[in-house]
Amino acid sequence: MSTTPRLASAIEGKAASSRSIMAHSPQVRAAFDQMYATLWSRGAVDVDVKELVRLRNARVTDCGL
Amino acid sequence: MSWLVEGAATRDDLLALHPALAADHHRLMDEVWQASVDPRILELCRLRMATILGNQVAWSEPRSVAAVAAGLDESLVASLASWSTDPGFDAATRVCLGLAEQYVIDVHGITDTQVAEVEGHLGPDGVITLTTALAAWEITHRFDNAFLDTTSTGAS
Repeated sequence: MSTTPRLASAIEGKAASSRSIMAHSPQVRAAFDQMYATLWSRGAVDVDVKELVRLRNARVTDCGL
Repeated sequence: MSWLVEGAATRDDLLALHPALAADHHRLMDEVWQASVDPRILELCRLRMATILGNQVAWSEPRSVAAVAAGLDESLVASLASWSTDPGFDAATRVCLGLAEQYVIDVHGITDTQVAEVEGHLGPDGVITLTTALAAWEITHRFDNAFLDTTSTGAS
């Protein structure tokens, strides 16, 4: 398991984070962000249920972020 | 055939239940295939993940258009299970397939060395493209397994 970022930030002056690292591939990042926004803002599932699912998924996959 | 919606037979039939999400999903995959990573490597990783996750649907689908256009070698596809010892797989493909397998089997087992090796071959943008693709395909394979009849295809 990584304890430090494995890629440098692609944004000058910004620390390495999932967002600044993804900026290495801006088109892919933009498409991912768009899909993620749609997941949260559209559809029949209540947003509080989505958040519970997200947190449960994070627990099951041991995501410390 | 899917138990979720009567008459739905494909992934796209099911994604059509949420058109906005389907459009975004297709756009993301389009960006992945058009990015800097050799699409032949991406297709081999996609198929290897499908095997590990038991998704026969992915094997029965047409190969990636981008990968075929780039000259995807079907003999490598046929040898995919033995990529770690088959000399037909080059160094870049090997490190990517290694990362793809580790991603599926135990993502916490990915090492700094593995990522550095992939970065050495693909650059940082390639690492982002590849790992985003791996994430998207894991979702797709599990989606197929959950909602489609994955037993009636002629996959290998």
